[in-house]
Amino acid sequence: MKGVIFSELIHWVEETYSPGIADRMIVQAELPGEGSYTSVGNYPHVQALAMIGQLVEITGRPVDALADAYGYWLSSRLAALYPQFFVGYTDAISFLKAIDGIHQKEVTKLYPDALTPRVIAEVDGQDLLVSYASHRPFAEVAHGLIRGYIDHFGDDLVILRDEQTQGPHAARFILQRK
Amino acid sequence: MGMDAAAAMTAEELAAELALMRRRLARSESARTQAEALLEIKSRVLAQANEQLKANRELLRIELGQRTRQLLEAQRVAGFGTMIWDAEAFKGELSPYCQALLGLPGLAEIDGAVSASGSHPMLDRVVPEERQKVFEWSERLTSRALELKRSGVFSHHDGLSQICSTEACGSCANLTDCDRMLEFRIAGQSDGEANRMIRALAETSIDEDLGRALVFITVQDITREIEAANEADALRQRDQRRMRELEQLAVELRAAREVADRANAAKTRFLAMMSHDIRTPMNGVIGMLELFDDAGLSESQHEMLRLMRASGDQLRMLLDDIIDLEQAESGKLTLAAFPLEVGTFLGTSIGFWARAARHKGLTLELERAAFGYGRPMVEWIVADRYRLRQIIDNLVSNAVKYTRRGGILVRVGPVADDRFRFEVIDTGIGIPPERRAEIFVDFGQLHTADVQAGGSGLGLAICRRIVELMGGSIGVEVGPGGVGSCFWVELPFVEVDGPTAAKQKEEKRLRRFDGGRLRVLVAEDVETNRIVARGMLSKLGCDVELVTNGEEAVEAVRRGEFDVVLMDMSMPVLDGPEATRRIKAIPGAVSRTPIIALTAYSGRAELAPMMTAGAIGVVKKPIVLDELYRAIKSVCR
Repeated sequence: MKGVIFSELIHWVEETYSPGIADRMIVQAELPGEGSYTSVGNYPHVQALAMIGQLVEITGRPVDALADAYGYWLSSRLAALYPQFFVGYTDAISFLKAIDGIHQKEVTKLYPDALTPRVIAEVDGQDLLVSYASHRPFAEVAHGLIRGYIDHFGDDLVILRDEQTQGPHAARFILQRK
Repeated sequence: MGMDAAAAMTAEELAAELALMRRRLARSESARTQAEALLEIKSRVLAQANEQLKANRELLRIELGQRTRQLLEAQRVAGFGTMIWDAEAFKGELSPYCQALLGLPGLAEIDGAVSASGSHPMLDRVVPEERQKVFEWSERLTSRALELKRSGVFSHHDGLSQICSTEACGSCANLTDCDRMLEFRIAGQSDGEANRMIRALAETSIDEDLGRALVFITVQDITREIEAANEADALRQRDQRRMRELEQLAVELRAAREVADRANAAKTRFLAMMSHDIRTPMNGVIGMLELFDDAGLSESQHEMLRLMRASGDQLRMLLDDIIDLEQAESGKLTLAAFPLEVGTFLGTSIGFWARAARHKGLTLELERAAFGYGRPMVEWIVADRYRLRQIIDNLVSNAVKYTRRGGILVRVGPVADDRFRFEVIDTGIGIPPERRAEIFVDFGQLHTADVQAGGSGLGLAICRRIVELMGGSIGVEVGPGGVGSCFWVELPFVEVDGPTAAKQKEEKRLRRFDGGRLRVLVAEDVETNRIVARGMLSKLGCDVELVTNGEEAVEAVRRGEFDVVLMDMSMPVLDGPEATRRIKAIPGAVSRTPIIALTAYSGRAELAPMMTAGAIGVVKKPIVLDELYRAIKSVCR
């Protein structure tokens, strides 16, 4: 998994809680590199899971809420770090529709070894259905990211979960106008 | 952290804060080191990729060079040059072969501008009278390409936008078919060299990558092609002329042949008619000669009488042959089909020639042969006795005629279940191989030797016609041991049972011919013929009664019992066929009286009415004593 996810996770914990909690999370997770991540590197995703696990311990908050909050925060960071991906899109729906066909290809061009999740957005009448599938259990992070993109573009949309696709590896989100 | 806060912190808290700061710093440094290491790796990868890119570009350059050379070579081999004309830059690129074709060596690029004096390197190569045409064509192509680009009606999947096909689109500035191609002459490239004919084909298109309006032109030297086409045209015209001449010749030949055929048919008919008309007086002459009592004549008178009789015979045979040939030529030669006993028939036929052979000191033998076929010859077959006899007589008489020493052997036997062969082998003079085919052809090539030997020269030709009509074949080979000739005939046959007991009984009734006197009725309207018939029949020991027409004949038969009736075909009051029919219709035994047709005709078609009416034999006029004897004997057998 891309290093930016790890470095931004630590960054988020430092900003949201404190550098001390971030340090505790890293130390308690007993990570091989002792928590040093560069955004251009690649690291096993289990290290991120270990850190979130420790954060649950430390904060007492549920893992889903933490993952969603991190996703939401990450969306604004990605917009700041990679503005070129957002050029030409004026709303969350068109941006999400472009993820599978355009953004993931661009990511793969920059990082040929990146294993990107499958994110497919389809228009269904007035709604947009966004399917997430990954070998990594980050469906809640994806939820947070979508939420963040909606706010980024200032859209008036609400996200519903398709109950039949509950689980950390796969989920289907229904975006409806309020 | 502010100074006040720091002051408020305990020493432990400060130590912990410091440790935290150190760990964060350490992580940052470690992350930076990782990033630098990664950057190093990425730089190396990038440098390698750059090198690879350069190498690939070089490979592409080499390959492009090769492809270009191949393309140019292909142009040379195919005899095509190319020019790419940039309509906007008003400049063109000429392929090397295009330069060579147009006689512009080294001119890889050409400008469209014509000098103030009206000179242009390419136009100057065109013969003066066609320069304007070429100039206008190039102008049209240029403006079409520019129009095409302006219209924007092009979009092509391969990136090289091309104008739509001429038929399909009326809205874009496409080329008409006549604008696609131009043929013009250029001057020869050296003194004395003739002008060359060039064909140029053009296509306007837009290169979207370069945003250029282009005209692709191929040029080809078609001088040879034009020359070849002209030559072919000349040849075709010559052939057509010859064909017309040949057709005319064929028409003339056909006409000439028709005239010749008509003349030939007329000649044959005339001969046949003459033969018939000659027969009647001949009957008188020959018949009287036959009856002439030669007792008391001097030796020279004997000789004169013999020569007269021989001449008469020869004349009669000639007439027979001419009539047969006319029958064959006009397709009137038909065959009868009656049961025939092979052994007796052959014995009689061959035996007839025994005296002539003996007279010349020759042997004449009849032999049953196996010819490699396992079964013996059947006894009864269906055949045309008269025609079969004619063949045998011809072959055997020839053999006797042309043989001075030795003898003649006739061999007969089957060669298949339904086919038999007979051979007439002599020890005569033989026939040279080159004449073997010729002797079977008729009239056109009269066989001088045969004529000199006293025949019509038509005998073998007639035999061939008869054999072919019977579905058989005839030929000649050199005789055994290279001596003499072997004439052979192969004929199909159908085996039948022998005649019925009733017929045999009837025939038995007539056996008196040899034992006692036969009573013969002669119906004949010509007095000479009646006298001849009576004389000959008397000579054969018959009692003769004469009548002059068919009606009298019917009455005579009805009145008294006759053993045989000789019935002329053409008679006043009642003709032969009708009289025969009436006799056959009389109730009782007299209707079975054998009737022999007496006729000057020998053709089957002419004889058919008599045979259909019930006649069972034929005697031809002029009447020959031997034939009369044979005819009567055959019906009284």
